[in-house]
Amino acid sequence: MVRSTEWRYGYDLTKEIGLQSGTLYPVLMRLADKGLLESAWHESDRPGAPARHAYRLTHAGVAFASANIDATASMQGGNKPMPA
Amino acid sequence: MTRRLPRILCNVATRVLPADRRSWADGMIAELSHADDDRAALTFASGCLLAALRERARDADTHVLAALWTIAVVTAFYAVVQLICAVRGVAVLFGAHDGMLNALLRHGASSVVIANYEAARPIVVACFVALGVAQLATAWFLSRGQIRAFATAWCIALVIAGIAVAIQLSIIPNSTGVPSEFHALLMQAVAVPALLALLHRRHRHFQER
Repeated sequence: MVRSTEWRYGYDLTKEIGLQSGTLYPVLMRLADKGLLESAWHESDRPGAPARHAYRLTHAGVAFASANIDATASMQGGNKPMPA
Repeated sequence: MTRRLPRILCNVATRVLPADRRSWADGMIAELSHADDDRAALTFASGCLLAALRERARDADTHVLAALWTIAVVTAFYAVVQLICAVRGVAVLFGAHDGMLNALLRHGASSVVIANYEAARPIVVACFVALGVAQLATAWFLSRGQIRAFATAWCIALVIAGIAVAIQLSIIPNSTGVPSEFHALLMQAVAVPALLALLHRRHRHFQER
């Protein structure tokens, strides 16, 4: 969540998250459809390479992700075994 | 290995993706230039094709088109059956073996029924030809999405099937065990509108989601 407002690229995300592009892109498309993700075209830093499609979470996306992270954390906290 | 195969896969993905996802497809192709090596590019491109197929499978318009085509193919199948029956009917008119006549004789039809059947045979064959052609037209218009033309052809096919069944019932009131046009009438009257209504409901459900 630290870098949630940075623009990211599809290939880089597959490496960072460890998701295959076949799984990642449909998720990104769903998020964009729900207004949780925005996209833009950025010039590539490699000479001669085409412009890259960049993505980042919208404010609603950040709030959605934070809520999900909190919910997951509280569930994991609730499932912790009681000390003997 | 070169980047040719990954590029081909991404181009295929571009064609597979619905038109409103075009920018995503362009984004996938652009990312290929940034893959670490050829193997990574191939893995990435294969995933992009998989993503495109998933999106196509979820696309509401594709669902509608596939359903229309399914109904059209089933209708065309029935049309071909009708036309085969028509060809056999024409052969019977020119003296070939008549299975229907044999069925009537097996079921103990009277000489009056047989005489009526033989008199009505040309009209029945004409009904087969007309029904086959009308159903083919129905299937064609449905596959092209021309709903008004489809509805007209469907009504014509329904009337023809109705005439065929009326003729049969007027000749053979008790048609147990004798081949009937009733299934064609049933399909025209119930199955096609029911499938289209189901399709319309599902499409609306998709749009509301």
